[in-house]
Amino acid sequence: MILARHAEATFWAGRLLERAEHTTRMLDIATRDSMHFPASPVQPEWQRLLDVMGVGQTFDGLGLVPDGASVAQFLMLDEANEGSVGRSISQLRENIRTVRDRVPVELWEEANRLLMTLREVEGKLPPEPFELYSTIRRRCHALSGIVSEAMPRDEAFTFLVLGRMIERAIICSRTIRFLVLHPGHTLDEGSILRTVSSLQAYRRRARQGGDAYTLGAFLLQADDVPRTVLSCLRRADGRIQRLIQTTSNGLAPAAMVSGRLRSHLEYSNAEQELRNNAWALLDRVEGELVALTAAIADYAFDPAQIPDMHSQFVRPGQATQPNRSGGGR
Amino acid sequence: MAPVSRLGGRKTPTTDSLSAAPASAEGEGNRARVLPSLAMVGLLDRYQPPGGWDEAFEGEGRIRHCYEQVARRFAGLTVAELDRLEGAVADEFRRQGITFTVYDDDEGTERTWPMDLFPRIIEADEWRELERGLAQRVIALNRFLDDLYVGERAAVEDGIIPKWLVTSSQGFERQAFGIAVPSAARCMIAGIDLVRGADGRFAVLEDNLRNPSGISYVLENRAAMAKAFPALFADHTVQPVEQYGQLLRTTLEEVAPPSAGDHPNIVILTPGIYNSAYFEHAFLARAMGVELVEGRDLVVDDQVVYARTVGGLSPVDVIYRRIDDDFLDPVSFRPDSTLGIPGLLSAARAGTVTVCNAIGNGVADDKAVYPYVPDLIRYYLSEEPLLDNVTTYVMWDDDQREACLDRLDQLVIKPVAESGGYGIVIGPHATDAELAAARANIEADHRNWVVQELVQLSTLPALDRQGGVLGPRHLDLRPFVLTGDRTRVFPGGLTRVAMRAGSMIVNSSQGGGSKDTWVLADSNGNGER
Repeated sequence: MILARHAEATFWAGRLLERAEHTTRMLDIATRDSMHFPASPVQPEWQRLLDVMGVGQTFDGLGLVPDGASVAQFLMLDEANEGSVGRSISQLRENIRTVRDRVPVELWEEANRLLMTLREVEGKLPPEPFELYSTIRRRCHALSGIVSEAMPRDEAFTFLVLGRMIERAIICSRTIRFLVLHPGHTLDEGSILRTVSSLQAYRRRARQGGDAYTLGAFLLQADDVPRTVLSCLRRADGRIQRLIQTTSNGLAPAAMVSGRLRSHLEYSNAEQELRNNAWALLDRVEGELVALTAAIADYAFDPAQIPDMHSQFVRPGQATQPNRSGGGR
Repeated sequence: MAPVSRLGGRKTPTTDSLSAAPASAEGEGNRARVLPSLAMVGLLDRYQPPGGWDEAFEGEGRIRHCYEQVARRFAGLTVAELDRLEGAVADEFRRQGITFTVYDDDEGTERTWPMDLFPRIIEADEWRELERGLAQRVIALNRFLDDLYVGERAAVEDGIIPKWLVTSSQGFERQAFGIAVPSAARCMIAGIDLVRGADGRFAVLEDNLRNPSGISYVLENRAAMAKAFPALFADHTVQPVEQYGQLLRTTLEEVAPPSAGDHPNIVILTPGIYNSAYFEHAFLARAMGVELVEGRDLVVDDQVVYARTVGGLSPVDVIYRRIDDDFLDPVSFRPDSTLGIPGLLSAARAGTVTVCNAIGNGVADDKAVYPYVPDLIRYYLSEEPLLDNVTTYVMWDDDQREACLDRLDQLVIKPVAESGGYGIVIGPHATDAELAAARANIEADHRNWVVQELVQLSTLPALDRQGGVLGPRHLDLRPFVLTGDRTRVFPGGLTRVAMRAGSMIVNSSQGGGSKDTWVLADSNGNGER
């Protein structure tokens, strides 16, 4: 059985991998699109991009001006930005190093290489960063490939996939928020779809005249496109169910949360819900994803949650489901 | 350039995949040709051992038999080729994160493991001798430790070693009294540092019975060597090293408490990813297929150790700890340690868990106890020691001390409880101020310093980038000896090499390098003992 600390490290490795890849892809696409941005000293498109990523306030707090170069520098390398690609990748490497004994050698090597790629620029984004973006994206894909082709389907794999799926679903939901908030902005729908790798799939099936809400519903509900919220939830759910079978039912609360959200997305008319009250639906989606993370962490990660054996009358070895004292879900 | 292509993508006619030497001197035809004087060609033509014993050459540039093929291969390389091969190995190590940490280095922490490609070769006969001597020594040291902590302290009572010397050792742990270890194997993993002096005889420089590290580099060096010079392995029957993980696991299973049953739960306890040997800890966990834990992953309840897993608490039977005694259990040792496991000693005492190496082994690798090891061998085994000690003077003996202080500039001064080369002063290389400080240290504390005769370490060719040649460099050897139900000596060990000409400092923490170490199999092709 995997150590709680290792489970947490792999879960976060999954999240960070997804985050680093997504941020880079987003930035890559936005930079390419920026040639269509209106030529003005202040380009609101960049501010919107920051808002989608959920880091607009941090950026403003640093007193930076949202132009292409400073946004890119901020998202890629800024130490003050906790979600920057640089920080994600160095933390990712640290986490993989922590579980180095139980992941494929290639996974560690590739993570190590990814960090080296980033260190080569020495803290300053080159003026033409496309090559760097594409190298980072390829290395992230290589990591995903190693995970999927070389890792045994054990608990470490499970937690890594859970981390990735939750992060991916949150990113997707934020993207939808951005879409319905700014219909018809310069970062067009095609670009948005490309940021979640779904452009082709959408084009093939979209009815004529689809708007931001049609697109949003697609990103929530399409079950055959790997980056939609529903696809992520199904994969997460599958891993949780398996873990429950092989271990114990400590993950039952997590299964409940993911099942609840999954079935809602499967059976509801998301497009209509988005039109009626997009915020309510997206708040619910993101709220459930946060609750899912908490339920997993609650059960699996937090060493403090394992009761102090000297203060509680728990027989060792039988404490597979420790009592939670006032622990929020 | 994508680094991987440097290793894998060569399309050259040579059999060595790392080598890009365009049609270099190594074809079948060339190999068969007898070179008139091996030492007189290419990279080795200016090779001049500094006196003392050279591992590869005897006398006037005459190559020792076991080095013929290797010398021929290296002599045919250019410096640029060799440099590139070493660069490729270093790149590979860097990519794989095969690193160690130098603590007092402002640069930060991780350094790539330095390896010189010219291998060290030990012939089968010679190795058999060493093997017997090493096993003998470790068996006796284990007997001594067992006698001391759970026995009658017979060696002390019989006056083989002074009681005060034992009880004043920093490594002597009263808390270990009465903690028995299955098979009386208190030191399951020993690293014995050997040096070869000018007379060609191996001698023990020091014993490492607490947490000897380096075995992972033995395996990585071999892997790198096999990539760089695969053809050389075809010319020799070299004893393999890849089985170490299995052997270690077997050893640790043998010392598991009887209650553990047939499949004991083994873990490696590491201080964490910032420790200098973390690479090795993770490497060994992988090689054995066991969990790599930190102190916070383990809890003790009712004298049983458990690991915190996602499925609840899971009992642990054997802890191969890579943490010093002092940090192991804040209840018994340093209360400020966050690396350890509160209550671990109570579990070890109850016999529900085996701690490897056992607690308190430091008393037997104390450098002030070292001069007594030959007597301990005689005492416990009724045998003559097969391996010599290096001549060592103890500073609490007035005569020895006075004699040493008179010629400190010719001797080596060592603190008794350090390892990794820290605190050592080499008389002939020391400044006046360093010698004065050493003298003051000795006079202030007779117990905790020893003085040794300087051993002229043997030499072997290593790449000298500035000189553009293979130059002689001093080296030592750390073989590893495992003890469970019985004592097994692992073939070869870690050869450490000084990177600067004339330097005798081989410790990696002091900037030394390493070499792949080959133990040749018997002529009948097997390395069975």
